Amino acid sequence: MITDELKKQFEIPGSFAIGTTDLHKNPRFTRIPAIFATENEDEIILMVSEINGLKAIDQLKVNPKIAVSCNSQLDDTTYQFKGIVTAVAELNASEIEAMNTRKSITAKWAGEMMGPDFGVSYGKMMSENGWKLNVKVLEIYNQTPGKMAGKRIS
Amino acid sequence: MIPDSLKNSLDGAIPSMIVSVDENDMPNVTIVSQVFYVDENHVAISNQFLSKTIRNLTATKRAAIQLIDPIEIFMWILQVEFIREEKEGSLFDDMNMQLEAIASMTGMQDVFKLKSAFVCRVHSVEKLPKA
Amino acid sequence: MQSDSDSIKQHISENETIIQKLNEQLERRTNEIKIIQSISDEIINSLDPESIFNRSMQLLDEVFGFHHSHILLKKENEDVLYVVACHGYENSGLGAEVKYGEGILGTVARHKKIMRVSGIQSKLRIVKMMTADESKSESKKLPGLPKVDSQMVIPLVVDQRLIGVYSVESEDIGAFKAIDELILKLVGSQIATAIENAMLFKKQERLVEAYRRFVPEELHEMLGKESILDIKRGDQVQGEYTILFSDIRGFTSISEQMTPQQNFDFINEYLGFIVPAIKKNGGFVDKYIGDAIMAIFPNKPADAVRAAREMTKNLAEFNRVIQSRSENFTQIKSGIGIHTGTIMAGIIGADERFEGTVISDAVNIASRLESLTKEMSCAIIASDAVVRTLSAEERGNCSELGDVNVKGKKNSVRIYKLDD
Repeated sequence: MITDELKKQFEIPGSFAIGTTDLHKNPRFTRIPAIFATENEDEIILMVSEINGLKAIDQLKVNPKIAVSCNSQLDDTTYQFKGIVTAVAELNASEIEAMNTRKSITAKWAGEMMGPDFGVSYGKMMSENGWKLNVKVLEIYNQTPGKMAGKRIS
Repeated sequence: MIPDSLKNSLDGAIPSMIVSVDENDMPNVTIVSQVFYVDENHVAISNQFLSKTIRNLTATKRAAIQLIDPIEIFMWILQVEFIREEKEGSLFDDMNMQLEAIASMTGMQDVFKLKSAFVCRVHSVEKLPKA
Repeated sequence: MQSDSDSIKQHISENETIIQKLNEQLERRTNEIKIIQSISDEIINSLDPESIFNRSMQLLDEVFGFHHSHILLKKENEDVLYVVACHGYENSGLGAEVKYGEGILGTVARHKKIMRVSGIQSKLRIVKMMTADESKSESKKLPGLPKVDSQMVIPLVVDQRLIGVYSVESEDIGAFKAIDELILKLVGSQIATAIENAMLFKKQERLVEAYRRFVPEELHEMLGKESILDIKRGDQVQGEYTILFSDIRGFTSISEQMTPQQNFDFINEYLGFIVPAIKKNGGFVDKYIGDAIMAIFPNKPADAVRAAREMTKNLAEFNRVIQSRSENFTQIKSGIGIHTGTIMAGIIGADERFEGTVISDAVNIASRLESLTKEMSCAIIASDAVVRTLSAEERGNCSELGDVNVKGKKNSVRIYKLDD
């Protein structure tokens, strides 16, 4: 299900976000720094940094259903994954480093696009802690503007 | 409810994102090119291509919207509730005109028609640090 | 204790900063309103469209930082805009056309509503992606910046009628805010009125100019009216004036050899040579009757005599010019009759068509004297009423031709031949 083409989308300058619900089942939006593929072809790992993610983590206990948006800043290719959070854990040191490495890809790109000041300020956003969410992917949709928009691809 | 400093983010300079949820509590997250300012307690989104979002709003009413300030690049999160659909009137006309203007730049004004404006009440506004 | 007082001091100083900032904002707001007022005053007081265009764009740049702007006006009877002025572009694009509904400019024209658009490039990219497979022709090149990201366009509307649009644009993201829209709205309505006024004024000037050719200004003056707008049917004046009548001898036989177009060209060229002498000597043409000219000299009879001599000289020049063009051209001759008398000038007519005219026996006499020039074989004949007012120098070589009777006139008129 998570094809190589999809995996590639995790490693380019991108904008990643999740949709969850809060304790009252109201929708929540949270930007996340990185998505990783796993050995399992229907599983992804989301990294959530402390700044944006604290509340969302708690609320996943009430409703583990999650929507994940993965948007390429290069060409607007966009996918949405829908699934269930199966496990939540705090990030260890090597995972934090991996997350920050991914962040720096987008930061570097932003610096090139928007000028060095922007790149630097984006780069400063490196996290010191956070959580990882294992997500069992149930459905994948293409959300790239165009003919394919809204089509379920898996 | 909507502070003056938020209005710049409702001009559509940078696309926004919206999370809605279906009857089975499954969230949906998607990009929306512009969230429109209606008045100090309301915003609107266009019913044009966002079929899943529109379906969810109709069913469960609630949504979370992320906006980005085009100058300072910080984030706003709005918790909103869908209250009514407008198919005519000045809000609809304004939104339709925006759509028409951009589409007509490539001669596609007849393809890009606004179906309706989904007006939402803003329940809370939260300003997040730069992201 | 120490730290308490410090914190109070700091608190006070923070408050002062806030108050100062508020004052600055307030002052800035007041200044903006003042500037808008002064822009409006300056623009509204101008009747020259060019200077309204250029000055308003320059001021909006200097004061509000609108570096790139266009003004487009609507074509008459067509739903098309065309660029009449621009500011801040390397290539002016003047004259470029935009149809209603085309791009942001055309959309504003179609809806007659102000529009502020942000994120144009990203929105445009999405539209292009969504319609990539549909083979529509490449988008038309519209006036403006190639990578415009923010644009505000205001319709210029007078009495609910669109006369054009005013556009400002920027390549920066989120360049224009709600306050900028308000500023443009305020200034825009002033600009619309100013442009409309200036255009109307220009049109009116052209109309007055055109009317002047049909009803001479001197006639308004004789009637004591400032402009043609004040003239109404029945206006009249009576006084002593000199009438000059001039005609081409045997024009009918010349005319028969020419096509209608040639006839008109010939007469117009002839009049072009002859007529300036009338105005130059203080007279004006009351009317043309085919090749005949009837002129009035409101001041001294000597003005008419001087004009007559100059007209004769100009006719010789006309003959020389025509002959140099076509050899088989026989020289034309004209006769001029001059008489001074009491005349009534006024406006006659019915319904839609009015005309300034002169009613007097004096007109008949002048016309009769002109026709006598042929049998007396001379160029200029003047009546006693004219000649007796002339100085010896003005009379020149002047000989009496006797008394003649004029139809409908009890007393005979003594006439003189004047040298040409």
